[in-house]
Amino acid sequence: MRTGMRASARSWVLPGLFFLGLLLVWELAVRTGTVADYLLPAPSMIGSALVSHRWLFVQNAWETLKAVALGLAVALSAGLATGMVLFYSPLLERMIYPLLIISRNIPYYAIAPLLVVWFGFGLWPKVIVTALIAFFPIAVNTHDGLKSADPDFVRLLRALGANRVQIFVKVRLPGALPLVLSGVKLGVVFAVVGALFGELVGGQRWTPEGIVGGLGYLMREAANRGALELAFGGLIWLSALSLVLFGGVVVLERYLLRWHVQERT
Amino acid sequence: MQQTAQTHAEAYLKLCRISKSFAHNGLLLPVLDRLDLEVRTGELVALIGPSGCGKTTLLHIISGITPYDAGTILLNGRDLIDPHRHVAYMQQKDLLLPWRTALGNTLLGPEIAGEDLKRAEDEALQLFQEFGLAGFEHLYPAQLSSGMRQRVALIRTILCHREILLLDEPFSALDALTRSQLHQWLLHAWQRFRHTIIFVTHDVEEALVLADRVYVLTERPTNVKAIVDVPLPRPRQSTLPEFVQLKATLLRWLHVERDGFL
Repeated sequence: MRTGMRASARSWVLPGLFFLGLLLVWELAVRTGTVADYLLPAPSMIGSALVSHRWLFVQNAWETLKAVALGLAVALSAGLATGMVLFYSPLLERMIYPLLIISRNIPYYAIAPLLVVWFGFGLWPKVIVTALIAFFPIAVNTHDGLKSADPDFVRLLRALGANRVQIFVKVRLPGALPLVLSGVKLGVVFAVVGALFGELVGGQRWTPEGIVGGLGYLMREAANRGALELAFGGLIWLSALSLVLFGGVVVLERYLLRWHVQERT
Repeated sequence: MQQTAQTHAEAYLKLCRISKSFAHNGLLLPVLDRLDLEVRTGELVALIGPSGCGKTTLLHIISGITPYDAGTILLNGRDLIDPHRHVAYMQQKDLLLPWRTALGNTLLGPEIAGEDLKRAEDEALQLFQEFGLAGFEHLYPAQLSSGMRQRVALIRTILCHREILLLDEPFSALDALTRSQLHQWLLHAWQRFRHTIIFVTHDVEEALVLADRVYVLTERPTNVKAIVDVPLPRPRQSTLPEFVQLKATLLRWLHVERDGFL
């Protein structure tokens, strides 16, 4: 375990150096005037924008995080419920599951402008886009996970006199967990993109401090006004947000699936 | 001899003229044909027969997993209507839930039955000790060897607290050395808990090491070809002349063609 961690830390040395090198080339290209700084701000400019406008970023990141969290909460509860209902009702399964699979390919980001028309600006259209696109992987994976239960395990529990609830809690649910969690991981990534799209098309709100519309809104407005260092700063915050959320699910997964991790090693 | 005294005792589990067919491609495929089987209290009976002869179906029927078409099953002279209260079933696959520790797996039966878990856990820990698994209680199945997993499955089966154990080729996937160790564990547990055991195998030697009596079954549709007593003291040495002789008898029975026999 220890040595594994040290080895994985060492494996990051080379990519890290390469990345630093890229930043250096980028910085030099802007400083020497090879690239105009109003088209591509230097890393140092982005860095100082991140520091001097930190409250702007924090406020907007919080706004985005709210949309992502609410959207995920809706997607998670609706996705788990749908997966379970489809699993337990063969009729609904035949009716809805194929549509669910097909509709995964619909680019739901594209309906963000429609949602603005229907629900106006503000938090809720963003939440809806986020929930909508994070819903599908969670629902489909929950259903597939429940379906994947080993029939021998189910038979074993039946022979022990277990009822349906006991079979669900002791076999189906834990057996479905690996797939459910990979659905949630996908859902988290989709959710951030969904919130971003919601913010790119609208979604600002007035506050005493000014307009807060989330990181997507900030990036759009910054780009429109030529403050590209702010747009880049928004990008960095957005990536960080996505990574932290994803990492959180990975940590949760490591804990819940410790038997699974050990099986792989 | 105790053996003869038992022969006259009333059968504990009695199957009378059990028949079962499966629908296959629109045809009825008879698997069991008016099969009779008697097992006495605390007896270890082995069923041996060609592969695919319906031994597993027979165990499924006794344990209530599969319904049967005709015949009766009596327990202590009464119809066996709630098999899962009396029968625990173990098969070749250990079926340990991978997300539960070894200990957690063995407590499955008491959990489902709503028994006192603290007591069940004490009992389980005691069995881990006796089965040479002390120190492995909190490992996950993936971290155990196949012999250990099968012992855990055996503990789980014992902790179901049923009088009758149905063992369906439980050790056939193990190497010879591990298998003979497990035979000793099983006999130890059997002598301690006095279960009534039906042990399905296709290994003549395994049947003779373990069983009081061996039922030799025919091919499908399955019936009883012969019943062979094994009046040898345990532990049994497969090199003893009596053992070798019984083995020859069993093999001869196994190879008698059904048509020739009838």
